[in-house]
Amino acid sequence: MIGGGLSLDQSPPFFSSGRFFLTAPLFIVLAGFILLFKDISLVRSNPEVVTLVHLFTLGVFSMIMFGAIQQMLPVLAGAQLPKANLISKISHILLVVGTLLFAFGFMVEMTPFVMYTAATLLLLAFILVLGGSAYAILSVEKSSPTVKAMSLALIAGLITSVLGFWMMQNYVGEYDNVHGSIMFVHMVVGIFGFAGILIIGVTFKIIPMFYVAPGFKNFCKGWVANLIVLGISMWAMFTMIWPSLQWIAILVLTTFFTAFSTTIILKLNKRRRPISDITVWYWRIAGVSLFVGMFVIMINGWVDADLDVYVVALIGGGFLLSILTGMLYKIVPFLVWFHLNAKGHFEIPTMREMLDKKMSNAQFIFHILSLVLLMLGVTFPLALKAAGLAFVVSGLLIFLNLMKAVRVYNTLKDVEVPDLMASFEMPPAPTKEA
Amino acid sequence: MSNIKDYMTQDHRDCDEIFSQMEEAVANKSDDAISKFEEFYDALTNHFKMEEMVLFPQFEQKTGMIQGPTQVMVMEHEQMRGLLSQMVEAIGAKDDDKFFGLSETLMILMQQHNMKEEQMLYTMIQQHLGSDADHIITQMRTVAQ
Repeated sequence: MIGGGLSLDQSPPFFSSGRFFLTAPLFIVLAGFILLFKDISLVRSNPEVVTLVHLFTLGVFSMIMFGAIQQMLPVLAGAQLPKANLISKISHILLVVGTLLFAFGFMVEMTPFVMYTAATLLLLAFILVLGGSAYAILSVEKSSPTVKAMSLALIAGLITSVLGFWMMQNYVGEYDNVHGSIMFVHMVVGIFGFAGILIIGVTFKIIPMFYVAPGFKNFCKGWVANLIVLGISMWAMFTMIWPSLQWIAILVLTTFFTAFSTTIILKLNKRRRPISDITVWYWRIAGVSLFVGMFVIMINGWVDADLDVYVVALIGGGFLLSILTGMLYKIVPFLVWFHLNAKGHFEIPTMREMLDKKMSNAQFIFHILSLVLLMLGVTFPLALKAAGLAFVVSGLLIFLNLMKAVRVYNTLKDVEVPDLMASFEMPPAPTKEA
Repeated sequence: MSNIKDYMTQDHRDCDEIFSQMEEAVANKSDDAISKFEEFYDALTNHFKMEEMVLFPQFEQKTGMIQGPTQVMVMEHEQMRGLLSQMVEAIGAKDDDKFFGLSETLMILMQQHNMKEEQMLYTMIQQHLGSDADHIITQMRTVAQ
């Protein structure tokens, strides 16, 4: 039958994705504390740097994306994870414990037991959510450009996690010379493939939706994911086989992502919604950071200077973290409203009323500060401490603000409401005389 | 021959366009704010009528899927009607903050609802009822007047 397995079900339970959204800012706080209290030298192979990077990529980015994927499946693909709530709970525990153990392994005690356990927990988390989502999408057998992009992102995420697993067992096993190349592929596929494709796919949908901006062209939507995959595959292949040709792949990816970043900024400037809020600034910062970050990546390949920290701060912090934080400020209040309304509640604070505007504005400043200080830390190590403090404050402010919305949900969710809909009649539309 | 999916999708786009004109008018406190809101109110509720009175019942009859996707869509229509009626109150009280808080929620709800319909439900409907498209579209136009 057509549409077999198709579910237009309203949405998975609030905390299915909510638990991921609320945990993510706490990992920003944890990363901030490590920067604040440890003297860290910013070298890529330094275990503390590896830990910090992964507190963000696993504890923050993957955490939010896991929640978002579960939320988007029914809307974009008409699919739902089998046993959605159970998978959400288990994968959340796996990801949280796996990430903490990862940090423990790299910073405190790198024993085979710790590393294998962390690697296994993390791999299982990725397989459950990404593999489960892929399965759910396949069972619906309906494909659109967004669904295709999402599937490619899921595959990229799975590849990243398998490579990560391999590296972790390789750290405590017999060190393999291919480790460096694998790490590079893991990094590029993770950031540009998993996070990049997913976020770009979502951007096409939510910029017009949140800000009433003009939609993206179909060409854009249809080809984006394929172009990124082409760029990444070239990059990975050249790195392994012809390192001297790497720049071609970098040029392809850079051209593409810079075009995308310019589009974000242009679309936002043409947005129709007259009311502005801090999330618009988050998107702008994301666009600018991506633009500058891709430029730095290009230079990084050509000049003899180590610009890694700038790339990480701009692409990881300025682009990914900005977009994801901006999204949290919209999605969490919307979900609170949506779930309460679906339970029959009518008098619910609006999305704007659920969050504290001053708090999110202040958080935005700490967010920018944390990234600027992080970059200054290359030259002035003391700035890293200040960056740590800024991350702690920024993460706490996000968490406390989101909790305000969650408190609204918790207060009202079990309150019985009379069946208003049964006797519901539309009031007449207002007239000029009214 | 007409295509139901295209017709309904275009109606979504038309509602979106009126929505942004309406928001602009309210934000600028322009004289035609109320009439723009009325126009949006009518456009959206007419769209619901076309689905609830013509399209969904015919689809349910043809496929036997009564408790399925159409029921969820109708529930979401109710949620949007609720928001619309709160917006009527907010615009009457000239409470812009409340109004835009509600319109923001409505916009997101509307868009994710449209996505589900355009990407899945309308495709299914077109497959099942496509051969009768002209007739169905005429019927929908009648109820929307």
